[in-house]
Amino acid sequence: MEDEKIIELYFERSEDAISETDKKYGVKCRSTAYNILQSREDSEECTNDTYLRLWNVIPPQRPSPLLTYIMRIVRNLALDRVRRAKASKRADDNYRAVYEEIKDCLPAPDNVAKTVEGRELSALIDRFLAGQSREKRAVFLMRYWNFCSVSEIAQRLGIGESKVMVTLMRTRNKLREFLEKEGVDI
Amino acid sequence: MSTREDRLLDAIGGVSDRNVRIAVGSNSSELGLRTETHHITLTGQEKITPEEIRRYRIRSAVVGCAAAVLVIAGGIFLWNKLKDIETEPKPAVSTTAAVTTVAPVTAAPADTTDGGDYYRAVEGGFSTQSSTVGGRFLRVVCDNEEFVYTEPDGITRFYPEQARVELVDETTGSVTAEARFVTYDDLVTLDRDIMIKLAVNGSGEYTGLVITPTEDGRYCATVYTCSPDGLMDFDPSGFYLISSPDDVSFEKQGDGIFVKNGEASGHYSVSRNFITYDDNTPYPFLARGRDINERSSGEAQLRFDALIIGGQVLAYSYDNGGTMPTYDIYPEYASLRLNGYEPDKSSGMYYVRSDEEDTGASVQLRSSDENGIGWVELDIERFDANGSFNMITNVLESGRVLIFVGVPLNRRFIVYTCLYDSSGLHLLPDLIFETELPLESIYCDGGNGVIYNDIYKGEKNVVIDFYTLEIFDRTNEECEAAKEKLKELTSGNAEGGFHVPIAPDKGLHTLRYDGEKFTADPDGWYGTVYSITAGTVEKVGYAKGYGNYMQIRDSSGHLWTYANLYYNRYFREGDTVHMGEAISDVSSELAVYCDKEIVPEPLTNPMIIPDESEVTLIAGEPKPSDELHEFSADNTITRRFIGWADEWAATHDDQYRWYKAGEFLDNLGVDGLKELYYKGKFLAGELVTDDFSDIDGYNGVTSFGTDPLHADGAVFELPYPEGSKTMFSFYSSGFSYRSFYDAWMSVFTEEWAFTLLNSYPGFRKYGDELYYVSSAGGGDLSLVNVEYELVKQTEDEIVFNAVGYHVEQGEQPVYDPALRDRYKKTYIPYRFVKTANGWRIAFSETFYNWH
Repeated sequence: MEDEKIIELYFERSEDAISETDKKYGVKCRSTAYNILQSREDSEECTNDTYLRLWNVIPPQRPSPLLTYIMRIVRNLALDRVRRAKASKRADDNYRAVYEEIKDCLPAPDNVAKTVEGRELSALIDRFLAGQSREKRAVFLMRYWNFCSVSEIAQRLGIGESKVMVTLMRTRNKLREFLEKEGVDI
Repeated sequence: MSTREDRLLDAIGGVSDRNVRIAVGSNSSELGLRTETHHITLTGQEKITPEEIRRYRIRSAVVGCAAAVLVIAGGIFLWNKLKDIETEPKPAVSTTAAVTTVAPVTAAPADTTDGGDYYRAVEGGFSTQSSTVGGRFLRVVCDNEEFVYTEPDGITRFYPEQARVELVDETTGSVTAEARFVTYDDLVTLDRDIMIKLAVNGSGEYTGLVITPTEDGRYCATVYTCSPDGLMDFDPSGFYLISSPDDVSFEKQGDGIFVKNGEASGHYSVSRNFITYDDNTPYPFLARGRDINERSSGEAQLRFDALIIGGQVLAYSYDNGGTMPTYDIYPEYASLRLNGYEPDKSSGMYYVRSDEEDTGASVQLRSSDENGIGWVELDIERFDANGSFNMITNVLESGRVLIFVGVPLNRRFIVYTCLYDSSGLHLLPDLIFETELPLESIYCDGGNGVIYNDIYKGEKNVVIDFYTLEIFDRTNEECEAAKEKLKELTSGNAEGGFHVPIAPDKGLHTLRYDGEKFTADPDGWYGTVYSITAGTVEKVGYAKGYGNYMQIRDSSGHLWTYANLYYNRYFREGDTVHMGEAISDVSSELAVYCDKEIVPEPLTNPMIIPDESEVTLIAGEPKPSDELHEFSADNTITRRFIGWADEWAATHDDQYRWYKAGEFLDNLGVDGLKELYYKGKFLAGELVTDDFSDIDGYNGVTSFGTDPLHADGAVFELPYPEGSKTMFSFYSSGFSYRSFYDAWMSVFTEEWAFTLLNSYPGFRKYGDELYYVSSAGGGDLSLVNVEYELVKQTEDEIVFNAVGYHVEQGEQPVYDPALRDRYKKTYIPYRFVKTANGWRIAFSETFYNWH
């Protein structure tokens, strides 16, 4: 079903709205939620919370594109859970691992650096990613947006895990250099 | 309070929609990694000049076909809605046929939420004509010359307010009904062939407008929807793939045309009056392909397999169980309009979005040039953050997209190949395929931006770098020099010729020769390396500066060294290698030397297990290897062996075990590493004393600093007694598999080095504890349990296996002893031999890959 039609169902307050959303986007939602929460039940709950959000937001909103709107909610809800220590230990460890990795991207301390965050920082990251090769971009985003495991990234891209790891490392370094060159701090 | 790391992760979450799509993508299309390949087969031998667009005749496709159907100009598709049909009859002022006064026409407005109309002109007039339904067809007439004008670019435009739709009886030519257009603000562009097409919604249904007479003498316009299956009452639009021009066939079926292209087929209706050219006039058309092999999830992968050209686009339905092709331009354009997208009229382009499945691509229609050539391209992001050209594949794809909506029958096609320059807007005028041999095929690797003919086959190699559109065969001297050098060096090769040592399917064709060696893309490249020549493997080894390398002696006596390979486990010295044979799984910064002598530095293995009196290694009798039992009856010893890994595993995923090893090295510190190094030298007999303090340079400079090559690592240098420097570098964080490997390479024996990548553990007495260090396990999340089995024990030798238990991917990573036999197991052998200085780890001839 097209997004417009799904959104109409929300406007009509039809019970099919959620099921159609789930049919179209449920797999991706649960996948991202599981990547972060490392638990089937938690990812199920998180996905349902996302749908509830949607229900409350549409109408009046008409998010477009719907996919990315939903996925952002899922990611935020899942990360929120982990950060509030409401997730499993496995999720904590998993988050910790990514957390440790992302340290490589932090620019070195600099007195004249301007602090950026939020949208501004996201835009910088977009710019950085646009300058990377498609594969590097995909690897980076799969890991740090979607929290995919190294083996999953390797499998999806058809490359070796070693390569994934080196690509991640190099891209993290490049991001740090990019941010430093931009004169920003986080 | 959030930390910097949290804020960064959040900011990553806030990236653009496009990047989110990539992040959650599951196939290469979604991940933005589409790498279509394109084959163009030229059926004729045409001399190609720089002034012309390349033309390739496709004759066979149209022979014997019936009349054509509607076409859409590759032009500016401004459109009008057949919205409000006026109720007042207007006298028809047509000079082409006698027209009777028509009765008022009422019609429900066409679906205004999507769809688009476009016009097709027949030669000799501005009338447009639809397909025939029930002996009647619709025709747009605009015969007031004041409202018609021709643009400098040759496009004909007219004001649709001055046009009307006539329902014409095919037999008599009389107009039986009429409707007028109401436009938006824009002009209507009328190119040679533009079709009226009524509203089409995006789900595969068509909204049609039929004007039919009613019983009481009036005419009724009916708006209805119909599926794309079967014959259409009105001309459908759709796309299908042409994998090669020869694949397309057309048959007349009743009022319709049945088009077949491989597994795709579709019907569409015929307008017999459409023929505007005679049989001999080449009829340019714009066509577009789409992958007919939809994935089971319904996500189509787009493939373009033919040439694009310009002129006209024909429409027909795509019979795929009723599913509308997802790259239907017009309804998407309409829906885009609803969402605020506007056509870029100044450039004559507008964007439409692709299917709902968020492939991250949009389809762009360009204006036609003076030759009436236009094309559709996939446009993702053409320029990167620095403004340099990116995603050239889209440009090339667009130069090669055949939009084939229908077919003008009884015509020949002209297929044009168009390439863009780096601005993405202009044809590349001087792309010349000049060959001495007929250019029979052009292979375009869309993923990596290269067009070439296989150099191996001896055909002319036309290599175009997508990023610069540089034509290698003409302008890249380095490439030429490299090829010449290769030819020269391999001239005595028994098999003749040579093979580019880089996988052509990776599209890497930048081969440079700097006087000393051949190199590939300097940015690092991971792919398969193929042997340039046939020959015999002379040496497989590791050496500083060369990494893992392989040396092959060819029949003329040249020695070819392939350096910086991935660890090779396939070839041994003495093996025969064929030309073009894959010799390495992966390489980075591949370097190929000819006749280079490599003398690896001697390395020593200082990893010594202490005297056996300090540690009890074995308990029990040797058991058959397929039985598992406790390695040691003494749990403390066992714990020591695995204690470190356990402690780590308790807090981390197994995939980070090797990370810990880096930390382990960190924790050794400068002194620890020094000791490691010199002890090894002593044990290897290179030093005569184990009192290191006297060694010249031992107390010299050692400092942790930042190695510019390894930005997040630490490097320190130890002066080598002989005066040369030895550099240890390692990383203290991050997924530095390679660098960790490099660190170990600096320390351990060659034998050790080779097995390191295969998860061979090492042991180290550190303080009072015995540790083992493993560089393995990266990404191996499936490991749930490890046990040890004794394989062999003698006075001088101990062998045991570490047995890893794995779950299948996706299963819960929990070990259940009750299900012990059901797990997949991997075995890693540990072998110790006794030396005068104690037990030491030794190479094992058999091993299994941990992964």
